[in-house]
Formats: sequence, C-alpha cells, structure tokens
Amino acid sequence: MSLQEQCPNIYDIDNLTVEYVLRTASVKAVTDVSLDISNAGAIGIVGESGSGKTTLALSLLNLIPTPGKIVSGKVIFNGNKDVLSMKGEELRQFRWKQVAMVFQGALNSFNPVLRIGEQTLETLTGHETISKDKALERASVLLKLVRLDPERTMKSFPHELSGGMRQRAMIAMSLLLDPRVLILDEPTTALDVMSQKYILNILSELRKRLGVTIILLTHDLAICAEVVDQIAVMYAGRIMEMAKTEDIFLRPKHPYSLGLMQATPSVFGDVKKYKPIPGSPPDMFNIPKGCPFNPRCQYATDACRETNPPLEEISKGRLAACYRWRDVG
Amino acid sequence: MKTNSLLDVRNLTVRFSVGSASMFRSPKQFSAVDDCSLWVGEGEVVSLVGESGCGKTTFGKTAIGLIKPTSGTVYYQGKDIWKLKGKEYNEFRRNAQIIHQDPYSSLHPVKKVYDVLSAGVRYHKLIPDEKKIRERVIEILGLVGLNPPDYFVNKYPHQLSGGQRQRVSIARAMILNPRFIVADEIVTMIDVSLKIGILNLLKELKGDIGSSFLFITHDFGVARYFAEGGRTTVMYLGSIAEVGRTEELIMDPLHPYTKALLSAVPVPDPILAKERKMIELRRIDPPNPVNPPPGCKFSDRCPFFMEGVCDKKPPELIEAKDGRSVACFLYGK
Repeated sequence: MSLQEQCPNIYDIDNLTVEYVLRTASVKAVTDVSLDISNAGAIGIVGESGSGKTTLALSLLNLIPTPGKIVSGKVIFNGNKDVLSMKGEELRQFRWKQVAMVFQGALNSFNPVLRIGEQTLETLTGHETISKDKALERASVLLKLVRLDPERTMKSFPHELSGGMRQRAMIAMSLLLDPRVLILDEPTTALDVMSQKYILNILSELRKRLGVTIILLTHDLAICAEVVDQIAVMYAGRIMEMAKTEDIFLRPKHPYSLGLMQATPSVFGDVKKYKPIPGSPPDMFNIPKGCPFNPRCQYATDACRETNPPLEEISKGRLAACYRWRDVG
Repeated sequence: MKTNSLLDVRNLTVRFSVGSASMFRSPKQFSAVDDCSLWVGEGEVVSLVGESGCGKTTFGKTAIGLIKPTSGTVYYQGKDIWKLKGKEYNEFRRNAQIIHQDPYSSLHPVKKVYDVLSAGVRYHKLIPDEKKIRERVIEILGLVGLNPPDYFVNKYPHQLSGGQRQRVSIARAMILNPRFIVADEIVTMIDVSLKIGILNLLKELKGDIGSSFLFITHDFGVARYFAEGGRTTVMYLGSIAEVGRTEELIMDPLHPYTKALLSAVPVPDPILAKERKMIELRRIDPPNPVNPPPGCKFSDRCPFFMEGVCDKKPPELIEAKDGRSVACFLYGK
C-alpha cells in the first residue's frame, strides 16, 4: 500500500448526478454533487431518509443497482482512476481491496448458514493467493482489533452473535483486504447505545492505527461529533453544506443544518431550545423549484423559490448552498 | 402503593417460552419482565428507558392488558384489570390506550383514516350520531396537525408519510379521551427533522387532556425532553435498575448501568464529545437474556462488581435517597 502514490484527495467527485428511471417517472437521487474526500480523513455524510446519501456512496464503488443510472459526472479515485469506467476484473479487484463498504443493515449481510470463519476465508482466498494459516492469522488480528474473541467468533454462526458483535465482525471482515477507504452506511442504527459507542471508538482507532479513510453515512448528527472531522449535509440529493465538524455544530451556515441542530434533543444543555423543522421532507418525484429546502426554510426569499443556489466556497474549505448564508446562525 | 396512583403495577413477571418442546424436553423459559413494580400518578409522565430487548415494550403492553402477566397484578384505579367485567372493563379499555412503535405496521392497510379513527368512537358509543362522529374525527385530525383534515380523512395509510402515519396513530389514541397512554418508542422511526414536532404535539395534548403517560424510549435525550418534571425508570434485562426524577437521574445516576449508559450517549457537541470518557465495562456485549448471570443481571459487565455479593442473589429495589430508588448492592446497608 505504501508504494502507491499518495494523492491528497482519495476521492474527487465531480458534478455527479444519479437517476433512477422508473416506468412512469424518473427520480434524481443525487443531483450535481461535487465533493473532495481527503486521504486518511474521516467524513460524515448526514441526511434524512431519502436524501441520497446511500446512492452517493454506492456510486463511489460503481455499484448503482438497476434501474439506477449515472447521468453525468465523474468519480476519480486517488487522483487517476476513473471509477465509473471500470469494468469486469478491474472493478472486482477495486471493490473491497481499495474501497470496502459496510452496508446498511449489515447485521443481516452475513450468509446465515456459514460460520463466520468460513466466510472470512472465502473472502481472502477469492482475492489473494494466501495460505490458510496466514489467512486465519490475519482474520484473528482484525477480530481482536474490533474487540471480539477470534476463536469463538470464527466458530460461530451469525445468529449466535448479538447485533453489536455482528456489526463489529462485519467491520473486521471489510478490513480483510486492507482497503484504503471504508464506507459505513448507518453502522449504528438498530444498535443499543453502548454497542454504538464501542463501534464509534473502534472507528477512531482504525483511523489512527491503519490510516484508513472513513466515510460515515448517518442520519444522526450526534454520532458524527464523535468520529469525523468533516461533515457534508445532504438534502433532496444535493449537498447543502460542507464544513469541519466543529463549524457545522457551533456555527452552521445553512438553514437546514441549523434546523437539524435545533431538532436533536440531547441529554445535556437547555431543553427549551429545541424546535422542529416545519413542513415535511421533500417528495423526490416532485422536488420544489429553486432551492429544494425553500418551503421549509424561514430564511427563504423569492430568489430561493426561483433558482437553486450553487454550492460555493464561503470561507477556506467551507461550502454552503444558500443565498442567505450570511444571515444564518 | 401510592394513594393517588392511576396505574399501579406490582411484582409483574412475564415469561415467554423459546424454542420448541419435545417429548423429553419442555421449552426454555425466559422472563421478559422479572418482578417489576411501577406506578403512574394521575396526570404524570413516567418514562421507561432501556436498551432493545430489555423488556420495556412487554412491560408497556402488559400494563394496559394486552399481554396477560405470568404473575403479579396491574391495578387501574385500585382494581385488578384482569378481574374487571362488563361496563368497568369497557371503561378501562377506553381509558387505557397505546401508541405503537412502528407507524408502518400499526395501521390497517385497507382502511381509510376515517375508518381507523371512528371505529373506537363507534365501538364505545361515545357519540351516537354519525354526523357528529365525522365532526369529531375532523377536529382531532386538526389537533394532531394533519391539515387540511378534509384531505386526510379519506386517505389510506400507504398514501401518507411516516410522520403523518404516526400522527394518525396518536389521533387514534387521543380521540377516546383516554386517561392513561402507553407511548412505545413513538419517534424512533420518525425523521430527525420531525421528531421534536411529534413530541411537542404530544406534550400539548397532554396539557389539554391531562392524561398520564408511560413513555417508552431507548433515548435519554428524548426521555428528558418529554418526561421533563416527571420520573424516569431504567430497565435492564427485564428488571428495574433505577427510578428517580428525570432531571436528577440524568445529572446524578446511581446505578452502575445507568452511569455506563449515560456515559455512552452521543452528544451533539464535538468539543464535549472529545472530553467525555465512557465507563468501561467488564464485558462489552450483553448476555443472552435466556441465560442471564446469577445474582444481579448486570454483574458480568459491571465495573463495580463485588465477588460473593453481586453474584449470589439479585439486589432489591431500595430507596437510596429522597425519591430515588436503586437496585444495587453499592447502596443501602
């Protein structure tokens, strides 16, 4: 891995638009997204259900399922590899070995009738020529890293492990081929608070020890506060704001990020300050004209109802798609 | 028992069988709820917090008589709910309502919103006249924020979003003017931006009707917001670990489990998040509820484990301070 050329950005995403073409209509799940993901960083992609975060992540692996279609845009990996034009064996080697993904509901993505150990070996031998002993050794190192007992876990069937253990085993498995990027889609949803915390701690540790880039997709801002150093907020398939974690939390510059912050009840702080975002999430078949957030936005003006504000740099390394970002906060 | 309690649950145990029985083997049993007592006062909000699988939903369902307890008694206004008959039973059924967790599976898929809401009113003969029933349905839809009500009245559940469905569920419980409501994880499946809206709605309705609530959640933040000024009960593997006033319990948890749980709650503040240290447990993963450890059920994970004490017998829920009860050997004599 170290021999590979190091590029400051592991991913350059350029004007990506992904559409699902259905019989009667087509839905733009991701619209005109441009995003740079820096090497060995950790970025959180935050959005509510239907905001397009999973579709965005799938296109990073060229894994958009039919009837999805990449309409336009580029995804460049490590400065020189065009992910969207990869095919066949090249793509197979790219997935998992360069970029691994832990899917949403990973609790159920194990094969239920194979022991964890068998599934692990299959992955290793499918991608590399490696002896069984070496493979077992590598697997047990990783299982220890996610705080599981290697011997017991390898002999277990998936149903014998609890939800938190399965999720950790899944993370270990995704790291088998030493990928440079790990994408996690809602890794802690459906887990209890303590299992969630252990997984977040493990992610921070993976970053430090293996230098792996982490892309965390979640609907829960609080989770991002713990692990990532950058957050991109998505709404209706677009990126609304991107900034350092601290800036998003303490000085949000987009009305939607501000709204999300005020709508997340916490165990600390003032109870009185919480208020909902009015209206309801957009109907993706019928995205409002202009800025997609305008019907719910207290800052909306006529300009917002007419044209969509572009995502622009408002200060160094900080982007917002809002005509009125100066007034927010 | 408190004299002013509306609902009083005493020594409740609910056992379920797991696995199949055969000629040589009776099925394994486990206690989803194990000897739990709890009371809810008139107009009070009691929240029940615990991780998934700790028995909080079973407790809620048993508290309004949807599950028959294996042992223990549920008293509503001083009367055992399983001994109520005729008119009294109907009264109880009308007065005790539940709002289920999942708005996608708790509404009848081929019934319109109007049918769902009017069924209870008609069954309990609250309003004799069909025209007045319609007025009442329209009124309650307006109250839960489904505007314009005329538009929603003839919709099927599949035509509504998750947030709208949950509002229909709330309306279904509220339309009967109940005195006691079990709200089971009602915002868990709701989008972040709408959660606070649903909670505010319920808070307002609580003020208007004066109902009592058993508010079940796994999220301390949500419990704190809704049960502000009320009490909170923490459950672990079917047993009650700690009871106290919500604010006090969060600021000064007594039971090691509550402490660990609160230390693990993610906070939406990156600076605070880096400062906070999680309390390390002796074991990361909870035990299988079918085979909990002997003695205190938290003993195998508890950082304050005392050998020869915690693994011998389960601790009783004792009063540790004014208004605070805890089931832990660290407290008391």
